Amino acid sequence: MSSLRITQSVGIGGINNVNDIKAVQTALNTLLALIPATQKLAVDGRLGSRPENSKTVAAIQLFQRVVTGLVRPDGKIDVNGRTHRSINTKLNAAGGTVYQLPPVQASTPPTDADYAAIAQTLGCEVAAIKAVAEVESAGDAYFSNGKPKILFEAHIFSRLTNRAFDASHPNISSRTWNRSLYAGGIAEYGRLEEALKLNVSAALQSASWGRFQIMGFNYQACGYTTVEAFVRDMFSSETKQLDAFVGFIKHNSLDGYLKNKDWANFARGYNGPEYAANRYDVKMREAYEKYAKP
Amino acid sequence: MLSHKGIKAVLLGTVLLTSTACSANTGCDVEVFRCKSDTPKPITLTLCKLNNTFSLQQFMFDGTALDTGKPLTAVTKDSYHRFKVDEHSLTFVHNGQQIVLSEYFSAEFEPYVKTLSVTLQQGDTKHYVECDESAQSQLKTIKNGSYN
Repeated sequence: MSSLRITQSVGIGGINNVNDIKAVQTALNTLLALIPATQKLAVDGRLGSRPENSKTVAAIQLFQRVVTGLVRPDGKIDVNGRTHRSINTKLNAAGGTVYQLPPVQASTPPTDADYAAIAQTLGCEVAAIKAVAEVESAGDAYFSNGKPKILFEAHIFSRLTNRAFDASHPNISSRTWNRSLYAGGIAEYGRLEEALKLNVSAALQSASWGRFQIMGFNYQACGYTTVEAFVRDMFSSETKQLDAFVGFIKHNSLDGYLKNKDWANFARGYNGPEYAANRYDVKMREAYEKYAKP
Repeated sequence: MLSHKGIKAVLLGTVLLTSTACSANTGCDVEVFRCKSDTPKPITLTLCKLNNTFSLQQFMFDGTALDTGKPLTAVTKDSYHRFKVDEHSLTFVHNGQQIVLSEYFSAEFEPYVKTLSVTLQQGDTKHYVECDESAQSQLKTIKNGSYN
């Protein structure tokens, strides 16, 4: 089944034609992996005398909550409505157009010219942006296989999928942060791939990416309209990673501190209340002094 | 803003854990990490640093007292950070078991979360314990690198 075709609404308060209900039941059975704990539905075209108590409507509501992202699932599928479109998106993916991570590309570190252009955009010294980039960097931008460095956060995936996969996939979906769930290094991609099978957008948003380990859920703050576009740039080059980082700094109104070399306030804004305990302000000042030397 | 979750210590704003100097007879300059918990399995662990070496001053897990006092070898201190998140971890092998001590802080969402934990791994078997509120860590003061 590559798409769900219904002629009228299905579910609570819907018209509930038998053939439409059967189509919905068939579609949801194809997508059971996305709505864990849901048993295969009988394709009988019926919702019973009280649709709100039917297993089919329960499955519709779970799909709306977990996949469509509705805060208040109404248990109803309108023709070409949000839930209908969401089901078709997932059916298309299940039909063969599964999301693929971008290809690995050869990348070179940002050049002095790249830093100069960024400094001009931010109105700060080149040494200032180099200092922040050094201190806020998580080391390498890429793993040895050429893929961007990532860390998959199970507690974020759980949060973004409304805890739907905590029971069925405890290694990648956890209500709380749990150190023991990390696979570490390149093996984090295995956890990401597992999550991608369940919910592409939530999976990509649940990893931290590249040299600055920016969480995917910050894609809009970095200036992207979709998380997929953000991830494409993370694969593309270290310079693109730096561009995303700069966009993130501006979005969080930290560029003024950078311009004034106010390391304490920059670090407070970027690193949070433990910035002093971790000496981020001191490290930035020292890095700035290193890069500012003629 | 302040909350407690299980055996986690959760921070309000900036809480700096003060350095705990050990008495001379424990052979330790700084108590680097102290963890106690009753669940899911009881653990009591105290890691000390003397000069540039680390040793366990106390180590009981699941009712069994484990070797202490000897300098630990192949100790690695690492850290991870991103926007408003820091994690410091110290890894070593003790009697064939890999042990990871971790101090995690996140101001990514409210309430802020601080979690001190111990992960013990032998082969495919992992035990994960979150320390109770009496736990203390100085891992952030240890420079990243290998210690022998």
